[in-house]
Amino acid sequence: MSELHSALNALLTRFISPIIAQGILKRALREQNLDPLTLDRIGLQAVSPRLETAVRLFMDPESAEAFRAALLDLAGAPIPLESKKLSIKTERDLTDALSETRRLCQHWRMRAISQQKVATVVSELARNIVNYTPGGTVELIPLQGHTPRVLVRATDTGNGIPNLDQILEGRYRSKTGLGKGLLGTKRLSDRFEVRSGRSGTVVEAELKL
Amino acid sequence: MSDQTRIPIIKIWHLLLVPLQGQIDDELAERLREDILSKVQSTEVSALLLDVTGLWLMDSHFCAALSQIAAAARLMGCETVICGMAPEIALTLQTMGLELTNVGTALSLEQAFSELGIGTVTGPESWESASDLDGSDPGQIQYEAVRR
Repeated sequence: MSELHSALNALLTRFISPIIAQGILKRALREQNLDPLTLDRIGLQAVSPRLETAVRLFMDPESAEAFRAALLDLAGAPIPLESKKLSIKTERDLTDALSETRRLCQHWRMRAISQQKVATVVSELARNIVNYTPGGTVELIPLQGHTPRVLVRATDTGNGIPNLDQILEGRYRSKTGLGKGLLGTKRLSDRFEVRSGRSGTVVEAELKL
Repeated sequence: MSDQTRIPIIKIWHLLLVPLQGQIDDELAERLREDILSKVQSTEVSALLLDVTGLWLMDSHFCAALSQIAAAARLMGCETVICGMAPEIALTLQTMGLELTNVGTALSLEQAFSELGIGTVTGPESWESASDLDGSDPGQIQYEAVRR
């Protein structure tokens, strides 16, 4: 077990019984796809919200608050996760963007299903940029806080999305499947916004981690 | 990288097996489509089996490409089945509302084989489906293409 993992276990057992502590910790780590042997501060940061929720069943509000404070103390200053801006113009940029997205999601310790969603969103939005515009960028912005999220912002210098309303309402039918990527992205996202016009388009998709 | 990548198209009895891996970009997808359809014609197979176990991502563009291959194969009398999809991908596709038209699905390669008429034949219990068994070992398992 990593040192941090041992410290975390010790912290939990200050508040609840060892057996329950062990169970909570094991489950939280597994759900977040973290390995106890290599648990580091970034991992702890990622799993903290899950732990805070789990212990509420076993502690009174005051203890839960004390636990939360102690957990923050153990985690130390929040490690700022950095955004990444990817330039998208060619097909090659698309494949590079996906590799980079995957690497970042793993670095941020996202669950497998969340990684999948983010990568799919990036793939859809970047592909639209490559296929229909002269070029643009895709930004991956981690939003930390009580509900950690990732913001994917795709900006391009194209001529705007025709039939946008129809596309977003699912009424647009195209043989080539045009529009399905955008609608699919909307369905995957927790928050979705498109601003599109003659001078370009900005798509923002927020996904919970 | 796509200049060097060649996806194998393997003929097994009456079907073509295509194990997809890594990232399939536009160029690769196009070459794949041509190669597959050309091989369907030359081998006269009746089924195309796309194994996606090695794929980490499937987006709307990829699904459209697959549906297109399947539709063309169907025009040539060839049925398409996809197998090996990861749960995360299946969930994502379902949430997005993407459909794979013209494409059948199976959980694993084994199940896909089974659906496409390839099964296993074991010992004396199934005489009626075995053509002829080598009588040396009653417990012997023989693999045979059985058209159902």
